[in-house]
Amino acid sequence: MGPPQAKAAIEECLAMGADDGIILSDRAFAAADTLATAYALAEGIKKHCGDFDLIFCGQKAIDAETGQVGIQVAELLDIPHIAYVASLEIDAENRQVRAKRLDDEGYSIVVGNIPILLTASKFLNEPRLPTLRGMISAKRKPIRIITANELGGDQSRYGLKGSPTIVSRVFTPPQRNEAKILSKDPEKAAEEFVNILIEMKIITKKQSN
Amino acid sequence: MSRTTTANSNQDPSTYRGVWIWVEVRNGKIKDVSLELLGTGRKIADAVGEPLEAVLMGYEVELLVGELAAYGAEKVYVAEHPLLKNFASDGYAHVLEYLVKTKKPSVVLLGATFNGRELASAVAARTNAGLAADCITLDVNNERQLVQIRPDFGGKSLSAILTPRVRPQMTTVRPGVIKKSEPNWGAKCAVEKIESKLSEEDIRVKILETVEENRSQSENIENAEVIVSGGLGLKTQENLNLIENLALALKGTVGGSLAIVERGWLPSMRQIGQSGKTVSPKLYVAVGISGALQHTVGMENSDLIIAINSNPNAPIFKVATYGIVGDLFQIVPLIIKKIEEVTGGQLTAPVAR
Repeated sequence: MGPPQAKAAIEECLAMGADDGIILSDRAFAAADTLATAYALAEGIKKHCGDFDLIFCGQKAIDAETGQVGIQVAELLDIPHIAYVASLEIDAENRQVRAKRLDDEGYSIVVGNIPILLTASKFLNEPRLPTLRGMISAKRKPIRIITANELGGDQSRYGLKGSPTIVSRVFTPPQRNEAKILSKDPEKAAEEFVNILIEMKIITKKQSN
Repeated sequence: MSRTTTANSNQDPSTYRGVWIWVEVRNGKIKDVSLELLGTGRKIADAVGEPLEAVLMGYEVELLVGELAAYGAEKVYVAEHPLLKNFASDGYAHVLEYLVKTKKPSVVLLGATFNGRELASAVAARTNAGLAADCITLDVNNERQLVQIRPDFGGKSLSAILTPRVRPQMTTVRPGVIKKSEPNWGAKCAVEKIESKLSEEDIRVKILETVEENRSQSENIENAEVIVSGGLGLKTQENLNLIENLALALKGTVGGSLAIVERGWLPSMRQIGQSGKTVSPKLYVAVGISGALQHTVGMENSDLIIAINSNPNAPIFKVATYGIVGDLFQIVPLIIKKIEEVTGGQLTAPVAR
């Protein structure tokens, strides 16, 4: 889901080996928070990705880094998900995946049945680079652009209208007192620094005998 | 529970009441972040005139209620089930979704841990709630709405986020952002036991094994009393040895900015800032760090901050207590030499808080 410029991102994916791409693009999708974004993506997947087996999402995007969209897409599609995936094994025969799922204390090894959504941690792999050949063949691969009307679904759940959260204002943090600047002379400054340390009892002066 | 929540089912905020903390438990202990949230939850509950309640899920966890009461919970919902023994998104989201839909809290706060963030996302989707991740401050405005403040995408300013039309208002907050309140041991609270009708089939992702990776004490940067942190001003990875030596002299831990962690100079567990760790040590020394907002939100609550930077206009000087404007390559070695002179080159005494 994105503005027309998102085409460049899809083209990069095609150059890396994807077969085709879809952009959900419409003013109606604009100003979507994570839930409204997830809803649009889920509708797009339901209508245009047929009987999918695996959905991969990044763990988080570099703008807001909320890490919410992937998991929310899975919930809206009513499929299981595994988040924070650091390694992955696919058992196609038994239609199962086995993954290393990171957490604060270490990790767990988990299994889930396909269809399933996975959010990829940065440890999952090194992305391959688009090759020149890939970039050329990408130009021949189809990219569909789908508007909100074409997508269907509950139009009130897209974009700003469908976003439970809004940014009410943006502001700069309140000004604090500036730091007390120590001596310009490096030797003196070092001495003042060390005196502060002694005062704070972070280091103790050696006792002279 | 039906996955098809209609968008309009929770658009009457006036019928929602209660400030909730989801309590995260690991190895039978309540995680610090949950206790930290009870402190801020108390302020929010007072400001909106609603009760402060905690949601405790797991297996054989009821004995933890006393600690939650000590930190301010007026009531604890206890949902125990063998299938809740270990965190799994499906099981926990199933129970929390049920509780949110039946009890209708106006605010739900969770620690922004791996599990907390996953659970929050899943429950927000299931209940059509508004969720803001990684907030650094929570306020209540004149309309008694929760104001969720987080650094914005550019990292230069703060955004205030509201969830005006639907409930609950959900937030995740990182560990260390809020300081724990003083506990009142012996405080009592109400307990409501929740029957969770969970079956194996409800939990679609099964855990085969769990591995705890032993982080040695010295690596646990959040507990460090002294942190010496380096930024791009160091210029090369090799120059990190200046930071390491100063940390050694101060019996402290090495930290780093996002910029140097991204370059692979330090592992991500040492990253301080919005997308890393939040710390509040007794002493934080920022060397060659410019002080972008996304960094300072991770260390501004330190007791004492000393910054060393060649740029007198570096934003770090707005956050630091003391500053040295100069060449770190000259100054840091001088400081280390001075420390050795003063302490007689001996090991320093452990820092008492």
